[in-house]
Amino acid sequence: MLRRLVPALLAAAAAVVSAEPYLPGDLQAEADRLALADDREWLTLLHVEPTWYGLRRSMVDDPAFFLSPRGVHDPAAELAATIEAVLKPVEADARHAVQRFPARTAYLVRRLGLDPARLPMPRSEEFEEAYRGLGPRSAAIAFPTAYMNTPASMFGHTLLVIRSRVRTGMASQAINYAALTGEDGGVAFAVKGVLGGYPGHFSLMPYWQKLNEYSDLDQRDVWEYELALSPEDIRRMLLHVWEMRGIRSDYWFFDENCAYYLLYLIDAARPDLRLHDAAPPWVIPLDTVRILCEAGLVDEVEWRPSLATKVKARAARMPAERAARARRIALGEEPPTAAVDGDPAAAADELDLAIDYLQALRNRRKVEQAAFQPRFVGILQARARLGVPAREAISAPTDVAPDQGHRSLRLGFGGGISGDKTFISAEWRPAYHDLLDPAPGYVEGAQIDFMGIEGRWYEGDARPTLERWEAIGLRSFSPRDVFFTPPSWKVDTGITRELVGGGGHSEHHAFLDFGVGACWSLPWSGLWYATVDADLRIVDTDPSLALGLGPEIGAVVRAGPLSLNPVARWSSFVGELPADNWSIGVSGSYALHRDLAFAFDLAREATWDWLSTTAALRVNAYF
Amino acid sequence: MKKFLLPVAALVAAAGLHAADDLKQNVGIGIGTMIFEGQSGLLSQICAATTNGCFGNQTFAITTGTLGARPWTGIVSNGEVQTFVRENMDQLAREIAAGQGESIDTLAELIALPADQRAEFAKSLQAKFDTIYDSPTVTSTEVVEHIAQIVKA
Repeated sequence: MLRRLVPALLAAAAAVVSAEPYLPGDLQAEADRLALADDREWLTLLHVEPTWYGLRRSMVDDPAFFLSPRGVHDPAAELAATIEAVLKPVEADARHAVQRFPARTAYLVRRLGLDPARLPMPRSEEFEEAYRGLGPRSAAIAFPTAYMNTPASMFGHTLLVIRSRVRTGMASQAINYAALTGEDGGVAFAVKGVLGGYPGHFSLMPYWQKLNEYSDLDQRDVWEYELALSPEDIRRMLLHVWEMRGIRSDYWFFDENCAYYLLYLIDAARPDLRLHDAAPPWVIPLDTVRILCEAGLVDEVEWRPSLATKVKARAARMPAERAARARRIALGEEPPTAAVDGDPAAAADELDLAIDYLQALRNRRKVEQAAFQPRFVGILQARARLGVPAREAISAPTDVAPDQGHRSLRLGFGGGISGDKTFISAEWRPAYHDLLDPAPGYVEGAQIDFMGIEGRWYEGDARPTLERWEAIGLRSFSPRDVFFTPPSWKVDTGITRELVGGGGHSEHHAFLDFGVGACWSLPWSGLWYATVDADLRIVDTDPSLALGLGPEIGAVVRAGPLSLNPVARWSSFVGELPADNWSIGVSGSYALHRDLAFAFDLAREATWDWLSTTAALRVNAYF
Repeated sequence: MKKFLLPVAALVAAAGLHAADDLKQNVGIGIGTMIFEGQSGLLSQICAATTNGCFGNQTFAITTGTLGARPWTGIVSNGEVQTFVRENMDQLAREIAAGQGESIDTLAELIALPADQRAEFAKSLQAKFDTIYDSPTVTSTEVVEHIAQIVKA
């Protein structure tokens, strides 16, 4: 009898107590018992990570993000301060911690099994109102692809899009993490960007603003990956975004960047995934997309072509005379009525091409506002009079979907013969893509090689030697056509080993090579290019400087998994170290798999009055 | 076109808003996208390109403000119609000319036009293109006004 009575009495007592406020000491004891200060989810909410010097530290630098003065370094102190703040009585003139930190509050309620009704402030009405306003249906990652010929981005960008239950895609809410860089430009911009000199902030804006910026202005296609998150997951993510409002973190280009923070938002939504643990030390937006795909988080893929993509696709699907006339109409050389003949659907497509192209010209400031307005409205009037809808939308090129791309860290092992010596070689390249890496998923003609280092061990040598260290190797080869005439350029800098005349011994030379030129599409898959290069060398003799000038011509030819890159270059070095260097050769690769390829180089070259032939073969694996 | 009764109030109210608007908010065709001042020139592109992975557009981040500075509104408001048309002037114009598109759908949603009337709405805007864009220098507030008149008519 008594045994049955005790629980009943206890339950009755609990019912009486339920109106009573919680005591900080009780909750703290329970939190200690559950070791919440070391709980993965708590650490995720605080952005705490182990540092290289062994201590834990939050990646967030803003003191406003912490309730405890020691919160940056001490998740336990922050937990205690949060428990205290959540239990504080509501004061009329002070914003309660629950309003400010609804994600931490929700975490405590769930983990400590609290009854919100017994809290001084049961929920954050500020957040609830915003949440109702958003009416979230789903969340997606938007990935504007890399485009080398704008300052905006080489690696691409990622932002979060909250799709509403009622609104169109473009009226979704975009949540963007970006650095506020102010008016800086050039070198200051570069140095501060890499060294965390700018504050990073989350900002919220209608998605159309980002679409206007990326797909229209930067000519970048945008891929949208809808995430397989439940409504509860999305709510948890938004609770965390709410806590990050107005919070500053130093923006580090290579690691604490948009892609990194995005993984934190997903981790806040799904604490079990721990995606930011899986991220490589260098987070590139493309890696984020791949991590999400591999975690099975991607439901559906959508694609928004940029203006440039639309121009090219429309032109390709109509007769050449129509495309040429559309161009002349956009340039104001013919009236829009010239397109209108017996076939309204074809005329509409032609005028739509003219409209796309004129808009692209305006965005690139190739047309003055005064000329643009009447021409644009004039073409639109002719288009409206046709009264027919646009031709079917341009479909996404699935072979270049960013999630199809190889991973960005490359390891290569191989061997070959250079001059009269055989060698074995090893290469490590942390990021990101060169012209001969497997092409799917990457923009054709764009290369960013970063910090690649190759060592070789030549026969008869006592130890291996540095063959090449490529600090930066960039290519931006954008094909020219009748519509667009972008410049093509390249930059290479690093240290290379070269054979030198008078015995053919080798020396290490520092180089900075800059080339500008043009590029055209090949009639089949690929492109060819010609550049004029200025090549500065610092060599280990006295005098030590040499400046070379000369042309380079090459091509990138694609045939299924096979890519070939024949190159010929000639460089006349002037100044204190005169020599005529040239090389002719072909490099190539054969992709066995997304993350595995064979690569080879064949070259005949003259370096500093020494002729040599090199043949090398490698296996490249991508991680 | 009496069937568009419901959104009339929203549009008319939105059209009336411009009296209080700044001049700078009254944007013509071809200007909206010029807000984005990009760095130009090859050298600055390269400098920027090596650092600018995900910086986004800094000008924009400042003018839009951070989450803390801007109220998180998701509710349809008349101001939103003005903002939407202003920020999507060129896109909206070309979709009205083509008689379909996401901008027209978004406008229809912002004025709470029932889904089954949207195709008709797009068609009638296309038919009245010359009235809406009655001059090459037409401004966004005039566009909202003209659309409101068409819906009322």
